[in-house]
Amino acid sequence: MLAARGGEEGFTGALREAGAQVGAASRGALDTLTFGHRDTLAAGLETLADPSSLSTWRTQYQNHRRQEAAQDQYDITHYEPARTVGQVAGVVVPMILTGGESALASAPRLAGAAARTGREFGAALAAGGGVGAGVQHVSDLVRGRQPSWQSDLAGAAGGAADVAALAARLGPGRAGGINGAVAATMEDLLNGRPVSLERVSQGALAGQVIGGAAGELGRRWSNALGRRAKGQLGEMLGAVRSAVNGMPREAVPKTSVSIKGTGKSWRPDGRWGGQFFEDKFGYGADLSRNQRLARRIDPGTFNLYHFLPDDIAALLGVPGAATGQQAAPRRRGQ
Amino acid sequence: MGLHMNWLAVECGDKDAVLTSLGLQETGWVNDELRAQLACATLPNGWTVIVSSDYRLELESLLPAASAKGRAIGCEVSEIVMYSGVRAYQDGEFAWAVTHDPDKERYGVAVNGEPPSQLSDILAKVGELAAAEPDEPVDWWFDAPVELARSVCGYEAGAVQNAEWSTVAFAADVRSAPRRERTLRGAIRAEIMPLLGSLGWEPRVGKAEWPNAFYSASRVHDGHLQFVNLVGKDDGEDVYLFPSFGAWPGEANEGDPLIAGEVRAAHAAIWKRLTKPWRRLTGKRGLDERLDQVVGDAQRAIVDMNEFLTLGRTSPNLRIDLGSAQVWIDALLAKDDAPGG
Repeated sequence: MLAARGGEEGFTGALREAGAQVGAASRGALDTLTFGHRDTLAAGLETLADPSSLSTWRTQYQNHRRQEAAQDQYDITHYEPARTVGQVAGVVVPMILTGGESALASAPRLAGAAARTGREFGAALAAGGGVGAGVQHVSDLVRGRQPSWQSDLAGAAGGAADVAALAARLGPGRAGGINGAVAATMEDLLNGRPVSLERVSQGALAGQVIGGAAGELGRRWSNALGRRAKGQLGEMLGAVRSAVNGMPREAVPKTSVSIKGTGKSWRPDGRWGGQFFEDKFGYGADLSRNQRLARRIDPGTFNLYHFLPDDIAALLGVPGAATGQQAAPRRRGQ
Repeated sequence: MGLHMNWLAVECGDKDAVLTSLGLQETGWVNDELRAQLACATLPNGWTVIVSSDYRLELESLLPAASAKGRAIGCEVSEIVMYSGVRAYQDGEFAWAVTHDPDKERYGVAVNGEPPSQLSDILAKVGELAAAEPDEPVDWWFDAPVELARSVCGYEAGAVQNAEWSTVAFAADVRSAPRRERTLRGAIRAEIMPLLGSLGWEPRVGKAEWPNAFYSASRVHDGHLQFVNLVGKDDGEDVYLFPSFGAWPGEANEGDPLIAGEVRAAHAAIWKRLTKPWRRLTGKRGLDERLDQVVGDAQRAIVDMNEFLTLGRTSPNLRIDLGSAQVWIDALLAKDDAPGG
């Protein structure tokens, strides 16, 4: 009987312990999702849920908040692994579920469109790093903190990681999360501090949310542009891309080019020596008949650059994520 | 360029009246309408066309006003986003429109009102082409509105022969400038055409057999029909002129040219290019000075081009767009090796 009671108590105790672990993990996840303000939010909800407390709501709220803060501290002391799992889940689960990806239908690039080159990737990494470092530097100045090379380098690492993630087609949201996580980790490491998982999680979430939102805004904005502006945007991006690839477009009036053996001609958007460039922008852009002919007759000189609103999302996602990571609160001594 | 433009056409041969009704005025000359921000010409069929090579015509407001002078159509073409559309107005009222917007309908056109009957033939032809090559990444429907516009007014971007294009601008944007004694067109007639004549070319004005050539020259040399096409612009702000050239395999304009290209003036020194806007702003380099340089460069280019076409001698500023220098040299050598060559 005693043995049975002991077994029952052991089972109940294990259940209670498991519940406490789950509770700590949930609070950890919520703390990340609210950027460290779970205690404030929970205290507010508890105060609102008690109608008798209207006359003394301020006192009630402060009491609830103290209790929630004490609960968090208890979790940190007694259930740190579970809380950590929750904090990580608070970042990873939303990333998996949304990733900040667009609801807009995305179409592949045109068949035969030029693939990204190593030079383009290198330039993008450098630009991403520059943006990350720049945002970090400006943020330090705005917050009245002394900028440091450690912080700038951490920002640069985050920006570069963002670009690398974008190249792996993770989307601006997920890439922004990686930006935030890498920047926060690097900042701790470069400053000789132990890596704070809480801060890394919050940085990742902020990078994901703001980076994803900035990317989505960019995608929708560019997709909604007027035809004239879309065309100008496409040509501008094309000119930048050719320059990055070492083929700066000639600053000459644009002329039509005969298509050998067909009696037809086409007007490229740019040329560099014997190379011709055709720029496209948008999900629905295909080749025209003569462009198809020109590519078929002389594929070695026909360079097709097809840009999508997704590219604008990526372009804006990097600074968005870097800014978001800065907006993540630095609490509890971080 | 990859076409990214809009234009309007009015069934009225009185160019001045059309321009005045739209608040536009002539500012100069250009041989190719797609090299000017705004250009205007009256076609032989009596339609007056105003073209914006960078999509700056506000068709919504201009078309109703233009249609007071006659039937008016407006066309938009962007090969970057592959949008095309044509709409017509009559007596200030909307008549019909046909548009292809791949972001809305990738395979087809949207029709509003009652377009001309030829649209059904055009769409049938486009449908056949698309069905014949279903796997090709080609926007077959893109051409339908453009083709319809061409069937109505006769204009096709960059393909009009022998039209005399004026550069135009909205009167509000035109800065008052002193009357010029010397223009590029005058210099072409007085200094370039005689040079071409002295080198054995038969200069022509407004009678060339290829698009966008108003000033041109041709000759048969060593069994090849050769041509020179003067590509230029003088709108009071920008002046340039350079000759393009080509040659056919035989003595007739049949099939593809064997070779085609241009001769460009040597690039100005980098410091001159960098300070050009400043020198323009401060009046350090006036239009007449630039005109002198442009005409001098064009004369040297014609001599270079002539040496290439007769002797196969290349120059650093020679650029071949079709064929290659070696193709032409081989053709010249073949003539020399031929019996009696």
